[in-house]
Amino acid sequence: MKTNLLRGAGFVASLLALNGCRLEEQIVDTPLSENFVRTQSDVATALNAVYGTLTEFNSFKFNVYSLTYGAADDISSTAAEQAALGLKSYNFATVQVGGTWNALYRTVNTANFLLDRIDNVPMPPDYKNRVKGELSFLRAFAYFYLVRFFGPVPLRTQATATDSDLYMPRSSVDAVYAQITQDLRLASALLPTRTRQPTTEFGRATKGAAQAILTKAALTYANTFDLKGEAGKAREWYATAKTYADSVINSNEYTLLSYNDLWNVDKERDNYREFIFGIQFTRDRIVAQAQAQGSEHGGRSMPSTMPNVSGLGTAKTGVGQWKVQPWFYDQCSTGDYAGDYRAERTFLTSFVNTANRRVAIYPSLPTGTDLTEPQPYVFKYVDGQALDIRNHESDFVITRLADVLLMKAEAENELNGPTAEAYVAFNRLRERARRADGVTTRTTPANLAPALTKDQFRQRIFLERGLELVGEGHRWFDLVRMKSPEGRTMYEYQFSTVLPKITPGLPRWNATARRWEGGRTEATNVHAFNARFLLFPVPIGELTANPNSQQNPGW
Amino acid sequence: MRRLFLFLSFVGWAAFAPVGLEAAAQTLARSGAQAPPAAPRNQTLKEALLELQRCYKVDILFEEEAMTGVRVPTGLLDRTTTLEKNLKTLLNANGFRFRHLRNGAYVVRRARSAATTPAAPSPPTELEATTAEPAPIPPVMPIPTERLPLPERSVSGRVTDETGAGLPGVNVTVKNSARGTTTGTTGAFRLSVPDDNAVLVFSSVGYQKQEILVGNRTNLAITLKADDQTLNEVVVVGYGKVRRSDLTGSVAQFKNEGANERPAGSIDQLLQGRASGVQLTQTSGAPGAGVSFLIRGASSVTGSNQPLIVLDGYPIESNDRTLTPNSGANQWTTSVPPTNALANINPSDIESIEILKDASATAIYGSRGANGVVLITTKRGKSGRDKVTFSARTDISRLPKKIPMVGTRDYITYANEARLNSGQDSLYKATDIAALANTDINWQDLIYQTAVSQDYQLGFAGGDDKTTYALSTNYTRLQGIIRNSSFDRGSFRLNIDRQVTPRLKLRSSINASMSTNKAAQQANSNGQPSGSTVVGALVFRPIDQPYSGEEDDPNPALSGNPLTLIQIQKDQSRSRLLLLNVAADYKIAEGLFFRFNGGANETTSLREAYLPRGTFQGDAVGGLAYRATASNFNYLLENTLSYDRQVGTRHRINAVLGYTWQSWIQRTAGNQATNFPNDNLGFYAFQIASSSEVPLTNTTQWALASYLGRVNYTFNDRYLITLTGRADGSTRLAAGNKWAFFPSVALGWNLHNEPFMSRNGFVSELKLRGSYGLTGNQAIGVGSTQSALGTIRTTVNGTIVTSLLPSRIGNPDLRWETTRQLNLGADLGMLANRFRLSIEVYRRRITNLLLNQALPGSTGFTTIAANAGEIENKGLEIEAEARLLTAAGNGKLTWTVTGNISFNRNRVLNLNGLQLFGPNYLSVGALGFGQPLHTAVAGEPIGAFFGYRLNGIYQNADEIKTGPTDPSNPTVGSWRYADLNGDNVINANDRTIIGNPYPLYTFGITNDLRWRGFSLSILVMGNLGQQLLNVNRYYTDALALSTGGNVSQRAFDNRWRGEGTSATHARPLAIGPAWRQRFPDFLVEDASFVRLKTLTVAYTLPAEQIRHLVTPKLFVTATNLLTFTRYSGYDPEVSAFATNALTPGVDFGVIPQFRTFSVGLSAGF
Repeated sequence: MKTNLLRGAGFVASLLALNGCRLEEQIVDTPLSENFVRTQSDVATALNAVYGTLTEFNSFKFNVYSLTYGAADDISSTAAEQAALGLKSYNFATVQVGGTWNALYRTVNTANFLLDRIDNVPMPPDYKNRVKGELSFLRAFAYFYLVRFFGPVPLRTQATATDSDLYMPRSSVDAVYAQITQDLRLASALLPTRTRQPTTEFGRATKGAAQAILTKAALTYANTFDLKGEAGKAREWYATAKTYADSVINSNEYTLLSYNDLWNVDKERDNYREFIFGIQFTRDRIVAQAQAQGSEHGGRSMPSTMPNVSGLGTAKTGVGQWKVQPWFYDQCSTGDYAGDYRAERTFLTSFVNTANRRVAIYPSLPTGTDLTEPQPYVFKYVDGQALDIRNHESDFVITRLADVLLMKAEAENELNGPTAEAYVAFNRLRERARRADGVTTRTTPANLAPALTKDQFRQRIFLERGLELVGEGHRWFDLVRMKSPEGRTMYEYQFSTVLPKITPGLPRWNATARRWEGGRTEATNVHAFNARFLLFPVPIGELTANPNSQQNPGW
Repeated sequence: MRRLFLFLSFVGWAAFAPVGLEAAAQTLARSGAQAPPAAPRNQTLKEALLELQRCYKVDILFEEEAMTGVRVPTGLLDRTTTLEKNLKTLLNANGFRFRHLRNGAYVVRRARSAATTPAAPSPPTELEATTAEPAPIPPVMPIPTERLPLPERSVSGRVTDETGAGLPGVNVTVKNSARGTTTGTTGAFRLSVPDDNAVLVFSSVGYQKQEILVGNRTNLAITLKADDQTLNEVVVVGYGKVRRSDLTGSVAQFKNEGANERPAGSIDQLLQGRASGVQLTQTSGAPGAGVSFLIRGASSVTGSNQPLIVLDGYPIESNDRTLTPNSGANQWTTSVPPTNALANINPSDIESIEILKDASATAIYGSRGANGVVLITTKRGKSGRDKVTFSARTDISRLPKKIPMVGTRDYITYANEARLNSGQDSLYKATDIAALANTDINWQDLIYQTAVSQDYQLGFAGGDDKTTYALSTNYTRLQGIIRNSSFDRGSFRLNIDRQVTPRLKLRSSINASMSTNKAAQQANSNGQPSGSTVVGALVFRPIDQPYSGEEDDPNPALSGNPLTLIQIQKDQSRSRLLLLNVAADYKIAEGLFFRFNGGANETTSLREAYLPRGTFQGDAVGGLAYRATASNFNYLLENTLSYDRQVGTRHRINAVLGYTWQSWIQRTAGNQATNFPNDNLGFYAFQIASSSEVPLTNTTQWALASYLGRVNYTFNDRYLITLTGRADGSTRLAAGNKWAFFPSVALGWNLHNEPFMSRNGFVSELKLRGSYGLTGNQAIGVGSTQSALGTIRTTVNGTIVTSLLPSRIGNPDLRWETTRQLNLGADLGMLANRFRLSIEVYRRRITNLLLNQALPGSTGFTTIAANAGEIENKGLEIEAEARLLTAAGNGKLTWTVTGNISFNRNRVLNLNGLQLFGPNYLSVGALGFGQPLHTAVAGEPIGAFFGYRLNGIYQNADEIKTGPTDPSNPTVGSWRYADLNGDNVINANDRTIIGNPYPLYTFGITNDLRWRGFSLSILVMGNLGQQLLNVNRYYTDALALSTGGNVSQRAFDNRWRGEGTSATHARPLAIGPAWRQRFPDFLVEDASFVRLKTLTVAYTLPAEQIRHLVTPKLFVTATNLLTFTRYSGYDPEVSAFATNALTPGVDFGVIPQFRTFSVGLSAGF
């Protein structure tokens, strides 16, 4: 009996042993954070990822740039996805708003993740410095978009971990700018110039990029003081803006190229002699559509019936969602800008469609059996080799020398009025515009006439930026930061004073009278000014998940 | 130590050896223990074997008593040759043989043939005496009759019930033989018996078994008594069985009868309306679609609410899942219905189902028991005559109703009116209208079809008193009511049981099945209408040309129309299930059993899809192919000791103790390619695509180790106590929190056995029960405790590389989700249990809720797995059964009514102050809604509908001016949203709970009537007080031309056309988003329903008329024959996204339930 029991017990014990009892979790198909960033190659991979966050759909591939397009006054979309921005019916639940917030913080966190770890990785000091410079740049870059879109935002400078404060309140705008400028100064000190950058790192942040963004950040920050009437602080930051603008301009790393070639996708790489920083997209043969590494602003900007401009179907058309408001086209092609090559090159006002019929777009005049359309297109992001409508080679240019020159003129104007120095910087753009496509030259546009007042000069800069940089994601930022002739923001001025005077409705071609009738703006996009539109609402995801968060006023 | 090992490995080997080692478990003397022999001239066989053992230094095992008295000459051994040769010489002559074990030892046993046995049976030894105690199975098989011809004679007779009516279908067997028959419709039988000593056994379900000694009689009159001893029925519980009278927990039983007579694609569909506390909602009418299975309410927010399904003791994979591409086609990828894992199991194989509900019953499953446990027992063979059964059924299914949408004339009116109302020119001029005069398409007519389905079952079962088997095969083809959709399943099951020795019984099951699901695309929350056949059929306009004009090809110019989805798009999933299970029961002592249970379960699936040009997605990328495989493998090892014994006259103990280990590994691999030169080959030829994505592979593994125990003690048949505990350790949880203990206690009191009650003949059963205990939920993503990296693609210097970034933030503090459940129950039986009633009340509190808690976007992450919050389910369940007419038999009517009703209230108690939201809906396409429709917030049910309240229509400009500010720019005739928070602004703060997806109560009533050979079974079920979110109406009733779609006739007829013309529907507009981008309570509808779920009429033919056939039966079944509801959608029984607890009660692009008429026959011989 006793042996039986022993045997029984042994039997059970052996089966238990057979079954085993290892409860350690083994994750074999997912890399774990704790093992990452040990080597220089890990550093390169982790750094690539930060840049990768900028080309995601939520980021500059769609959401971020769509906010800058859709909420401005020059371009609009009737496609429902973006229409809410122009209709001003967006709110804290609007997809693009939430997507933008999350995307930019993803960039911040990914940069912080590597910044937290890089000091422990053995590698050559010059490479380490370069990476730190790039990370500082990228973090500042993301915060600069965040602070402009949303105002005060939570300021995270360390990677989020389980033991982090997950529910951080919003920091003041001042604190965010302090971080941005500190990071950009560091980046400016650590990063190589464009020409010294290793070719394998082409397209990455350079000293010039850091300084150009710092110029813009300082200028924008100065504007906020200006609008609040704090002249002293404003001056201080205008001066900083001017210093860094000068540094970029005088570095001679950048030059104004042929305006025609700037938008030739085949010459994109060469254009980085003018482009200071851009979001790098490339045609993606592996992944299609929303997740592709190709850009999609081309597909949405190109007409839906014009062949060989984007990637839809065998005809390679676009989907024609973003269109220019007719009044804006008028403004960019009359007065000073009559005969301006930039307007001709930028705005598409007629084309031959896939059915081989000419389409005359306002204000072009149709003949014979021509079709008509009421709104011109921005014809910058043309890529006939696009793989699909969300898969173009075209980079999204963040800043280029023309932008820096205008910022320099603006900063100088704010500091010292329209000095000769300000005119010189400004007129370099006019001069390049007269070179037209680089082959022929024109007499228009003339240099800006002297003897303008400070306010007048600022207004001219606003108009010049409107034409020169249309479709490049500057307009909304310019609207909300620049001071109008009436003293408030340009946004308020446009919506309260300028737009209401424009005949509402889109142009209609009257075939009998042979003229364009009707209005010059989409009626639905003219709204009474409301101060809440100067910032976007804090998205619903942040508000509900973060008990320490607060909504922007008016939302 | 080595000896012990040898012993163990031998036993281990024997336990796993396939067949034929009857002696394995008998006591074997190990020869090494014996003293060396002297050297006589001839020695015993035993001595010779010991000598060989010494020489060859091997272990030889033999059954000592078997060779008592066998002697061999001493010179027989030759040390120069091999051991095997020596053994042969030694043993063959003496009727023994040997076998070489894998570990090097030899085992010697008596050879099979009795003829070579030289010696007479030896007297029983002490060891044999211990095994000679009464065994549950008759010890000896009778010598086959053909070997031993005896005078045969015939006996006939008639079996009647107590009223004298003949009883058909009674099994009549000759005891201890395989011989038997079944009574005919009049109760008559005839069979031959070996002699006068033969004992006939009469058995029939619902009657007491009777044994009759034949004697010299040739004609027998047998009266069977109705069996009211339901109390002595055995109930399957986790890791064992208990007598129903000893049960303290809440267990619902379901006997699966007539499964082949109803169109049920999967076993869960059988349970609908038949068990209390179980809410089953078919998620869709797609063939092979899943069922939302809730036992006592939803309890987990993030994890699955699917109960644990245990098939013959093996916990199987039962979660619905779908293989979806990793990137790209967002509008499309998740549009298919999830595959129902249970659809791979043939419902007709099921004998019975037990549903464990309270903590006492489920705690034995510990961390897996929180959502309840469903124990499924499949049919096994019975000793006796071999039976062959066959059944065939054909179903004809149709869509019961169409949604009235406007035709061309009204559509043109609507579109033009919308344009004019928005200050635009009318869209259709006179010439256009004339051109459209002959076009009026109802897309629903093009999509739906009358479906014809088939089901065939063929089964064999039988056995002798040592071996029983049941083999079943099945082929089912379910055709969908959407054209070109179908579900095909072929399945095979073989259950074999063998009494190896009186102490050892083996049970094995093999279940294999294959299925092919050709899916019709439904919808996903993204809401691209061209991704859903059903939505597409509603929103495509009557003026749209479906065909290209050439034959019936879909019009390629009309990209994404639903016809392309069913005609040119291909999407099929094939899956294979293999479930192998072996259990060995070893009787250690009376009432004490050791059981080893082991097995493996593999499910593999392959999804292949191709979206050619002409589909929305195919157009965008030049054809898109997707092919993915998933294999889910798990194995189980279980050792349990169980003890079930009456001690003395008053104590009964039923106990189990065990250890289990289950380990899973899941592998998936997916490929996606785009840009095909043409659409000819589709997913068959990825190599011709120009672009293909980086393949995605996943391997996930986890394991669960558990110790479990339960004691059920009954004193004097009156007082019951059950103590249960299980300790679970999981790989998924953080170190330090891996193990948890789940105990429960239950008490019961059989009042009817008290002396003061037993005098009362009216009450036959009265039991009070109460239980309290803990269970857990392990539904948490593998790897959630660890921070992990994800991939991201980046353009570096013009080329694309993959890089890594933080993608998940780990939570090292993760613990089990714990459910505390209190259950009180009473069982009442009256008039010999002719009337029975069970009432249960319960409260389940789930704490440390596991959920993917939303993180603020500013963290750089979106969610973190966390334990947060508390949920409560409270409820009341009543089950009743009344055998209203019991006079069974020929010509008399029997009528049994069973019914159940369940009330459950689900409420979130707290979520650490957070409000959770479901996914954003309709975030792509022309609508751009992008907001959640569901929420979880303290005080409300999980997944309550969340949105704005409508407050009529703005009838005039003054109302807009004086009303609250609405930044969405309403105009006259627009919907008016209510300012709920009184701040005079309509914004997101005015959202509130606008509906509850859970029913107030559900019920089911089954009526079974039998008269002569006829039977009628009627199931009426209902869900009352539930609401549904009819998202289809977001499109069809918005009256917004910007949606690009058609409008419902109702919206059109009620549209606003001037002050006072409508208070329910808006003025059509051409500009602006639908519903001004808000989710109105307009879409929430009362979806209470009562439906005649199934009605079966069957007729069993008199067997005598058809030779060789037993109980041939013809049947006709109607399913979903009548539905009473006010719901305006297709069908109120729907839950599109039931796999997620945060998205209950949505009707969106779902293939509706249909009405089916089935006809078939079953027979056996």
